[in-house]
Amino acid sequence: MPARSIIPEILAKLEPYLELLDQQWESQAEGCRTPTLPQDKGQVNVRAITKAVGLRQSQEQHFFKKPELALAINELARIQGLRGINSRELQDAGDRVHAARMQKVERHNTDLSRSLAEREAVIERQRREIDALRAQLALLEETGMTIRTSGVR
Amino acid sequence: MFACVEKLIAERDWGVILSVRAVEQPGEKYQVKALTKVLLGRPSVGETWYFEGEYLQSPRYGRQLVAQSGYRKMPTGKLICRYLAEHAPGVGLDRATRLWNKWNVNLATIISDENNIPEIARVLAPDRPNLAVRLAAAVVRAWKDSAAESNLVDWLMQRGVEDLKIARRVARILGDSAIQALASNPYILVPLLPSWTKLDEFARRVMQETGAKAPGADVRRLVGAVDAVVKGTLADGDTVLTRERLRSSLAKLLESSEGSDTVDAAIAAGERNGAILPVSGGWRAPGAALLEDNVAAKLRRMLEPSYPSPVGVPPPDQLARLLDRMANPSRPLHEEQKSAALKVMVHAIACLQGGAGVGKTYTLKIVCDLYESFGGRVLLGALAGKAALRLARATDRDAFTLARIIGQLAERERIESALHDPGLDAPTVARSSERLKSLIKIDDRTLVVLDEASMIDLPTLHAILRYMPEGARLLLTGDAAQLPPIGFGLIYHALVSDPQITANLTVIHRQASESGIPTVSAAIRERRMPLFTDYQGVADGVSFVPCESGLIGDVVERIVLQVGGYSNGVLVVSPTKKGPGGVDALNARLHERLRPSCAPAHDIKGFNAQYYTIGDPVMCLRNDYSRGLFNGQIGQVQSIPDSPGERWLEVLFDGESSPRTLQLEDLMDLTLAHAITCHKLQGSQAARVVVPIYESRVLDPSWVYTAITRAERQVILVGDLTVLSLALRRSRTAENRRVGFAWPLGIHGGENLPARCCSGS
Repeated sequence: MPARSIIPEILAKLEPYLELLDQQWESQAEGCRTPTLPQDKGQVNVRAITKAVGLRQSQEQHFFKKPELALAINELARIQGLRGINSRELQDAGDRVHAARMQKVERHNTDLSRSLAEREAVIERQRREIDALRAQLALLEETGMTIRTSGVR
Repeated sequence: MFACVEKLIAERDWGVILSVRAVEQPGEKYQVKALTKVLLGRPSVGETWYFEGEYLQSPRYGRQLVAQSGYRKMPTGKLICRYLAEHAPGVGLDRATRLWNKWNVNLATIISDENNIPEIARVLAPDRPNLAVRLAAAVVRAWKDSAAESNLVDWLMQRGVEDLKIARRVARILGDSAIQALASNPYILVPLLPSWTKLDEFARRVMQETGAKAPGADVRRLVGAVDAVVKGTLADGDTVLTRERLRSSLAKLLESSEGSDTVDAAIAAGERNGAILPVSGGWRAPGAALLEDNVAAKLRRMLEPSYPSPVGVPPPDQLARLLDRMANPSRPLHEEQKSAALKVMVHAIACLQGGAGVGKTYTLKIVCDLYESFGGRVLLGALAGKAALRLARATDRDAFTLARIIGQLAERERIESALHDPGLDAPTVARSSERLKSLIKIDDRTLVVLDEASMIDLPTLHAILRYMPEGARLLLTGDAAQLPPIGFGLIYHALVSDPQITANLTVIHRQASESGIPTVSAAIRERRMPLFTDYQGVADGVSFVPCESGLIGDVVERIVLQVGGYSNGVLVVSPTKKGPGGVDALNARLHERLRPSCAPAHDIKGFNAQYYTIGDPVMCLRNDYSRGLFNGQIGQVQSIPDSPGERWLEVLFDGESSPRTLQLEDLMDLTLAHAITCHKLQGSQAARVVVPIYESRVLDPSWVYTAITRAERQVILVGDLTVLSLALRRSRTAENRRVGFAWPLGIHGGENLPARCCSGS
């Protein structure tokens, strides 16, 4: 049996907390708002958040290792003008998302190129057919006859 | 012989001059001069070509082969890269080499199939998908087009068919399956090969190669013979075959008797395979039937109330008032002309019919003025250059030959279709758009006027109608008493029997009758013997110089020398090619007697025993719409080469402002034109016409009438008055023509033909 993920459990506590902080932020007069997220010199204070949501200090590491948790905090940090959580894992995770997106775009481009090329093949065949029909029409208008293209019975 | 191209000395639109090395005799080098039209493709350095032609020793260039045909030996192995680099636009050697590296010896197979375009595109330019697909298509096109032609030429030459034009046409129609199609039924070449005997020999050989047990009785041969009879029928101008004609012609081709089972089997096979379409009393030629039915459908559509009329033509009472205002006060319209003008303005398709001197052109001018005053456009066309010039002068408008109109409309269609390609580069778009501005156009506001319409054949009218959009109108002017068209079909003659769309002019006007030609031609038109004036050298009018048939050549020559040759606007119109008064003998005489003093002593040799010098009138024998040349077009030789070894002519054609250079290949479709058969002169005119009259089956009222009405000022008939009298009692040629065009009945249901078709003479 696979180990149970800690993320849903933490998210269940973190999201209402962040929602509350967001409401507090919104309730301030625009133009003179102060950040509601715990902070230290403009940087999100992860330890304070860990404590505020009722987690053990040893669980602080999850905010650095699990992008889902860090991204939720960083989104609010971005709104409140704070520097978010920054970690190697988070950068790697960002790179992976980016790479996946690139792959998807590339796949899409290849599909488009393929369908473009296939369409060109159809156009080329049709061009040849049109040329052949034009040549038959020219022969018809010159001689009153065409070249027989079907078999005789 | 096969030769490897070492250098391109000159490359022009008209052709190329190459330095080549003989493949069979290594070390032997010479030059090849070839016109574009005798080459299947464009040679490049490093390619191997097969050339046929005549060797000349040029003082300047040494040994030179003047090619009469040339085709590329398709490259194999890595040479394919070079071929693609040269002939597939934008590919270049680097990309072509990528293809070779990918597919190696299989490359030819890969680029012979459009289905491989996606794969080819990936290899050519993987990082530029849009460009790659275009390049891939260009690769396939460059290879397939050329390979189909070259392989077919090879295949045909091995079997004794050496005409490149045939190979080119068959390859265009059947593509890379041409050889397979020909091997399975060689008789499909009937429309292209001139002789049944040669075709039959070729076809039997091919069928034996492919294992046919009894080629002589093979159903393919039977259907081929029916096709050949249809072809002969069309060559005579008919579009319908009678039972007698089909049976007797088949018996001849199949070396059998008319009542034989072979002939029965051929007719049954012909019907089964659509080679002939049965109707009461005969069969329609299927290709011509298609053209006839298309023309009938298009013309009928023009008469429907729902046919668009973007140019608002006012009601008749208002039109009548406007007509009075349009006419020249010093030359008011005659009541008959006025009502004719009103009638032709009413319908989108109309005919203005009448003989010489009845004021057709003047009435036409007023109609054109009127139509333009309502915001419409007018396009004037005539068969011959001179007729177009005359029409232009009489109507104060541009007028074009039909060949030029069709050629330019076809070019317009090609350019407009190419402009739909979104990948076209900006300079090409700009160049093409600029070219479009100078080309003839027919839109929904255009009134197309075709003069001398009785001489326009079915295919020409079909081609023009094909370019006419809904809303465009057609006015045919002509005279059904003239000879029928040279080509097959008979449209105008049927249309003018419909009073709903035809206005007839009958009154000869004083100013036109001064030359006497309208009065004499009116009598001939009604089969009456006219009164002739005495011949007194150069003078306006119509005279008859009696002479014995044996002396006719001498008398015609004397008269032509008295009144002047072609340079003085004189043409001889003869009933036949052969005989002392025929075209061949008179041309030979007049070529010698009218040679100008400035002409070099040597002549330029053409084909069919024709020799040319400066001042000779010449006539084109083939329609070439792309160059604006047509069968029957007359011109005059302006210069010839100083060296008798070279064979080209500079000819100024009627209606053109600068001479054209006709190369050796063109001389095949050229003949002297001091004397011309009446058929060839249709649509053309000359100031003075000399007409030998001697016994011939072509002599009938329409022949004499057409010959006389070719002259603007003077007609001199020479020969036997009794022969003329007998000719006037015969039926007109057009009455004997069997056609399937039905008007106003419309398209046949497949059972009945109009009376004209099956009544014959």
